Amino acid sequence: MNPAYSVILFTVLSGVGYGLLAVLGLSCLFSLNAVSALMNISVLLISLILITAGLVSSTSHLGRPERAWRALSQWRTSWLSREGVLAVLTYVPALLLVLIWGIEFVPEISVLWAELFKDEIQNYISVIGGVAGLFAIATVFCTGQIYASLRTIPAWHYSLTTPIYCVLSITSGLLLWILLCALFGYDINQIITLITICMLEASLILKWVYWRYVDSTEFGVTKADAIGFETQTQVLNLEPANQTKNYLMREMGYHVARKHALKLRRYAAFAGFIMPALFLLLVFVNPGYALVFSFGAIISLLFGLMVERWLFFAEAKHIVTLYY
Amino acid sequence: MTNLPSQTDKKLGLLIDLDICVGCHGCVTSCKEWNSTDDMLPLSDFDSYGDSPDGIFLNRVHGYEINDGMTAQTVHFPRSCLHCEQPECVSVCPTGASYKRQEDGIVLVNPETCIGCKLCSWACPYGAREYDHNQGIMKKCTLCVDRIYNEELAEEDRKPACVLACPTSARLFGDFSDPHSEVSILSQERGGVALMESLDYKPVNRYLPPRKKQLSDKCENTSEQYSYGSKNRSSDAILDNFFSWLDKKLS
Repeated sequence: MNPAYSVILFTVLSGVGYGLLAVLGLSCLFSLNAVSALMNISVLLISLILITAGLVSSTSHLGRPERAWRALSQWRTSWLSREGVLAVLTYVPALLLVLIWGIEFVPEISVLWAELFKDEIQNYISVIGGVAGLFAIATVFCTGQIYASLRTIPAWHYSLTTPIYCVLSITSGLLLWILLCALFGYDINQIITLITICMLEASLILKWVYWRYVDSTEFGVTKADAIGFETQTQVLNLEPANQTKNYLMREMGYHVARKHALKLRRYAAFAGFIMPALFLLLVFVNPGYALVFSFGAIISLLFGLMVERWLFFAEAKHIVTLYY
Repeated sequence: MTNLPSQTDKKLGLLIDLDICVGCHGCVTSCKEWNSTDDMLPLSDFDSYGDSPDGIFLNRVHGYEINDGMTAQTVHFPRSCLHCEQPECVSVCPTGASYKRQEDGIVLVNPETCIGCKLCSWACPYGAREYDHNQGIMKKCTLCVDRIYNEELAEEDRKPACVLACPTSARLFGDFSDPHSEVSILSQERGGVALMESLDYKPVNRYLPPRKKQLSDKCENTSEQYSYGSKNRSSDAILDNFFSWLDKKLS
């Protein structure tokens, strides 16, 4: 499949953004966010910026971006539509949280606010944050399902496709959370660091299993089946339907990267999962340099994820290529 | 609405006879012509007179060599939308622009609401959909829905343009849900095939396989009749070998 750069950028950026929002949501839900309102609102805004940048980037691959709102209508059947609906829904609790934390920066209102809600405010934050986190992960789940539901592309039509999208999103969110903690001068929770390292290695294992699956997967149908002959019949291309490349061949028949796939997989695994884990180990043993090390970790992870996502498209073969 | 109708009143589709298709591409060009004129948005072409011309076609003809171990033969294979009963191109559509009609089973794209996300073309294993970069929307075979019900046309002309254009009558149009229709009867008699049935998209269109070529004794006799005569064969072979050796040495 043709790796459209807008879609790669969208899935990586918004994946990180939704992951960060999910981590923030979890911390709200379990009242672990005993940090300043400034950090809370910064984390929230950064995740919203990443999500929005990703969404804007994804609409740029539409032929008619001005009609994008129509994509919210078919949530009964279409995973793409469900993704759109959840992406919009996620903004509701997220913006409510922006409001709640933003009020603290306006002294006059915040006094009134505190009198009105007293101790209940933390409960509201837990619930709203939990909902935001849930919607965030549900959106990523839908993204994964868009690909996993396509039976025409066996490399994607696989039980691990969606879980990998979710795990990569949460892992990258955790890593960004650690960087932001360091940036705002908070001690980094050692348990969270350990969990992130485990998640990175779990991602590596999942991707390794996925790549092994991609190498072994077949269409299940032959060129002969595609044109209605008995499965074992030998079919050779004689006269092409068209002399130059057409839409189908460009969109579905992309195979530039396949010969470099092994090398690129190593880059993705090393930059995406091994290097960030090593950086986090350094954070673990030397918290004084947490900011530098976690910055290195996130840069490496983003590079690795871009390569991983590019491969996800470039390595996927579409059944229609049987005709060509 | 991308919910599929549980059942359609008719199953309109094409029956394509691979035995007599000569690969003239007449159906390809007449399809392009009909679907680019009058009220239709044109099927865009790009770089028409340049080095790598490209364009949207709703119907394409491939040429293959088929070898079943005994005989090899050329097959011309026209490929267009099969108007599946389970079209996943429709159910993945996020806007409802793609839909399957309940009255006749035709799968269509509404050009007014398509956002050009291309997901439908990913969901189709048959390559029936092509994206129009000029208009930013997806295009596909309409089974000439604007011809087949068009009362301004003479009744014999109310057929898809590709069917009317075919000089060998390799394309037939009809209702596959009616067991007495011409397409159903022929498909039944000649073993009409649905493409890649195991994928379970349930295509409506059927392809009639080419009749098996027989390697009969008669064939072998004929080939002997037309050979140079057995007496001179060995000397011919020596000469042939000599010339091929000479050719190699000189070149």
